[in-house]
Formats: sequence, C-alpha cells, structure tokens
Amino acid sequence: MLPGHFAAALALKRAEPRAPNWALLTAVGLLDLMFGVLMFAGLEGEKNQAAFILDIPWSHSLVMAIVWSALFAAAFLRLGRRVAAVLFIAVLSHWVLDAFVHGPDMGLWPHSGIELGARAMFGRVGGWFEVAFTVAMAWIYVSGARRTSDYGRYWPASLALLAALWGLELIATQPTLAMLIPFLSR
Amino acid sequence: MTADQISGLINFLVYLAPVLAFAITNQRKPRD
Repeated sequence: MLPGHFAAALALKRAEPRAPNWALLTAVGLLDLMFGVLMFAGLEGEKNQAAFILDIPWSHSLVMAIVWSALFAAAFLRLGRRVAAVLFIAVLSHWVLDAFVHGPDMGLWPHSGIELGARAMFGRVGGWFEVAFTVAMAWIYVSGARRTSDYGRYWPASLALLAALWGLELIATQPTLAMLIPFLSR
Repeated sequence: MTADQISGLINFLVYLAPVLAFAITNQRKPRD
C-alpha cells in the first residue's frame, strides 16, 4: 500500500491547500517511516516472514496510530485548527488503509493480543481496493489542481509518480524483494 | 549491520524518496 497512501495526501491537499506539502506527504507515511526507524533500532521487525506478518506494536497499533496522529497534528496547530485536523486525518488514514491489506499484525494497542488486519478477508480484493482508492483520490487531486494555483504545479508528474509506485509495489511483492522491503508487500 | 537494520533503512528511504518527489511535483504554480 504505497500509492494509496500518497494519493490520500494529494487529495487532502485539495481539502486544505494551506497544509504544507511535506507535512501531508510525511503524515500519510509517518507510521511506515517510524516502522523503518524502529526496525533499525531493533524494536520492531518481522514476526513471521513466510506469512508476511510483522511485529509492529508501536508504529501500527490503533491506539498508537491515534497518539502519533494527535502528536503530529499538534505540531501544526500554529497553522490553524483545520490544517491540524487534516494532518490528523492524514496520519490516521495510513492505519485505516493498511487495515485492508495487512495480515493480523495491527494490534488494538501495543501487545494487546487483539490483532487486526483484513487481508485474509479481502485477499486480492484488497489490491483492487487500493487501485480504486488511488484512482478516486487522484481524480479529486487533479480536478482541484487544474483549477487552482495553490498546488499541483506538475500534476501530470504526480500522476506518473503514483503509477510508478504502483508498478514498484507490484515488483516488490515478488518474494525475494518482499523479504527486503516488508511494508511494500502489504 | 544486521539484516533487520538494513531492511529498516531501506523501508525508511523507500518512503522518503516519494515524499521528496511529490513535494516537488506539487509545488505552487507560478503567477502569470
């Protein structure tokens, strides 16, 4: 789920153009960026490599996702409540989207023993859900970008990037690469 | 560096690269 997250950021830019690009783009990937850092620190990682189940209690449990969303949003309150609210939604959108494609490795809270993740329920439909979601968000973004000068200077390049990320994701779900780049295969 | 650390670093960079790219493609348009 890589293009889906970034597509959400682009659509949210239309909802609140005053939200900085870098903040929106970082927000939608914050949980995965933290996963990278926590994995590097040895605090998170793979739980079951063969089954694509991750050990991600601090970056991807629901309660922690809400905490990270609130902290990130609070850092931007100086730009107004609406910007902060949009950034809160941006961070939390990551968890909601991941819930469609993850295996049971997204806890309610760290080590709660209640693991969420609807990959078994949706299977390949989760992949098609991502495509449909990405296309819908891209449409919202482009139709807004064509009418404003506030953002989207090179919007066709944004679309090309989304398509490239989707292609990268398809390649990365091949088993060899999936071991190297765990979150891409979810 | 362990395999997990390398994987973590790659995860981080793979996410950071599109952040930078989209920030460039999504700039404000110049005024006429």
